[in-house]
Amino acid sequence: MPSPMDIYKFLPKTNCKLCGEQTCMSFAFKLLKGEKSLNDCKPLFEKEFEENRRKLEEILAVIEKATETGLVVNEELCIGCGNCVVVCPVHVYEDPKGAGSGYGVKLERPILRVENGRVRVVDVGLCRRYRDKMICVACRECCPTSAIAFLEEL
Amino acid sequence: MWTCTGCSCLCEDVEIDENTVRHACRIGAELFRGRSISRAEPLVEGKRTDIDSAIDKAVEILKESKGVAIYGLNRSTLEAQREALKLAEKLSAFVDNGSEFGRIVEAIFEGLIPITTIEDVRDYAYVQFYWRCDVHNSMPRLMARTYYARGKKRQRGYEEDRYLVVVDVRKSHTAMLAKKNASFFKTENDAELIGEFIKAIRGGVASGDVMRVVREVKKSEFNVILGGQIDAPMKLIEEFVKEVGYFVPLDYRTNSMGFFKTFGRRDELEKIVEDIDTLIVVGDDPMDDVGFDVMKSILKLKIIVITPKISFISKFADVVIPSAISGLECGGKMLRCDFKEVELKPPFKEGFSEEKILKSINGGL
Amino acid sequence: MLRFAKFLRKLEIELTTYRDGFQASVSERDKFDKDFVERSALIIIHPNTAKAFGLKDGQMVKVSAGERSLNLRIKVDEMAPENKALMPKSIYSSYLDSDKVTIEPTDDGVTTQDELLERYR
Repeated sequence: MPSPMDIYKFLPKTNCKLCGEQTCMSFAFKLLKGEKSLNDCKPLFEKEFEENRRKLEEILAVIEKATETGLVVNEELCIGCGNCVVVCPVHVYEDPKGAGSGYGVKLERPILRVENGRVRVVDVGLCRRYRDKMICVACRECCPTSAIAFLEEL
Repeated sequence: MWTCTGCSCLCEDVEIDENTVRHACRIGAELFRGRSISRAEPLVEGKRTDIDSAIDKAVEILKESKGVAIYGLNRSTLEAQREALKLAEKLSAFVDNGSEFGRIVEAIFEGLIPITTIEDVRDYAYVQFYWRCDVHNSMPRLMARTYYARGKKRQRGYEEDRYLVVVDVRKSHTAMLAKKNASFFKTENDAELIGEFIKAIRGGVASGDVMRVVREVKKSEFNVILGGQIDAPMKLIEEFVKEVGYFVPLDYRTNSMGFFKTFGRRDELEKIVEDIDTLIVVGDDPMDDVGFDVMKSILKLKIIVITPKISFISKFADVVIPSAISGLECGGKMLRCDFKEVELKPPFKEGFSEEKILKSINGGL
Repeated sequence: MLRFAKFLRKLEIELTTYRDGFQASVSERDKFDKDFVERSALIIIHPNTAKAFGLKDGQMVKVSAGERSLNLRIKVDEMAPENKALMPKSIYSSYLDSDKVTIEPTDDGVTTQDELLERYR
């Protein structure tokens, strides 16, 4: 999971305030939370920062995918145990014989599914955080390798 | 749906298409996805040959040998293990699968330790002890199937309907899962802690943490110890299991329970190296398990390796015989960690099964 | 740049092994791949041990047991016991084959599978 520092080190660090923030560090925080986008940082689009911008796009890609629910999956840290797939209350309700009973999730479009040995976000549309605006952390609670995180807790 | 032979969970719900392996953990996924990578070829003294010539050479070596050991067989089907048993009987060979579970499995076979199945643990077990096994790493999907899953009598989820106890010498990944309704005991002295538990269950007084778990144990008729390398006298473990309920041995080696059922014993390779001149390795790699000094002595022997993939030991072999991957490329049966027999239906058909290779060797002798 | 690492004392520590799922998965795929080295040539120490001896996550160290030694990468993780070092079980740990090792910083690269196999010849 990227930290604000990971992002800050690729920013221009001039505190130019063009983005509306007082410092580049606070801009880094807002980027992580999805409250600002890279487009807000004008100097980044100058030639001298081209390399940095590409790095930042890479770092932020993983977060942008997850902004709707704040769920961030780091596949590299995942061992594919499927604990998260099995405990997800929505999966249990929708797929009691599959995920609910400890097997691979049988839904066509589940929230999470283990693919190639790593958990992947398939469709956050069913997630209680998205649908019911609930703060549910069931999937993260049973991950001991920190492969799952939520933006608000970063 | 296919069965994964990556560990003794033998998960039977794996789906595969051209690019994706679904539901298998990282170990299983790599078994399927990496199937065609680094495959072994038939070799005699390092030179490429055909499989029949390799088998002939193996027979020739075995005819001249004065002492043989067969090592591995953990990824072998029961059928292949039975063929290895015939070979072992014919050659009066030693057999070893490298597993430390022999002692406890013997007690299970003698009926001294009551066992249960993964499905029954899921459906009924309240307190689940994971004792000296970092199951999250060694058998990654097991807890999803025993602890996190909902079961017939355990419908309300793990935080309410289960109590987790993890015992280990360190804060393993499995120990990090002991959160709500759970206890973690860090100890190097299993016997002492088991003694405390037995005393407390029988009405004695013990430390607060032990008493807390014992109160939970008394709430349910069905509790289970899922055991790894428990370092305690067998008598004490037997007593403990009887007080708690049931036991499941957590040996990650895929068909280790089948090995013990087939052979009924294990001759530790480390102790018999002096007595053999030939080693047959089936499916495993002793170089990952056996210490340097013993390994140096082993490498002086004649070595016959039957393996689907190039391994470290295959680099030192006099004969390499390539085999199909059990469960993926050839069928048969295996015993899951809880002794349930699982039928393997292979999604691919390729190469010679270990059973067939061992049968050919038996035929040639 | 000053190499403070050079002034560190040797750390003598007990060693224990465990089965690591990530190591097992790369082993399943290809034992001669660089991923195998990355997941196997590791020695894991507790954050408190790392702090006490000035060792950093990712740092290269020479790990010795008697006459045998390996160059491994340090991983700092609280899953290691506080008083012991931890290694994923593999040919690397079996090569050392010891419950006690010494750890000292090194500038050399990690020991590869081929280098390791050479020592068995």
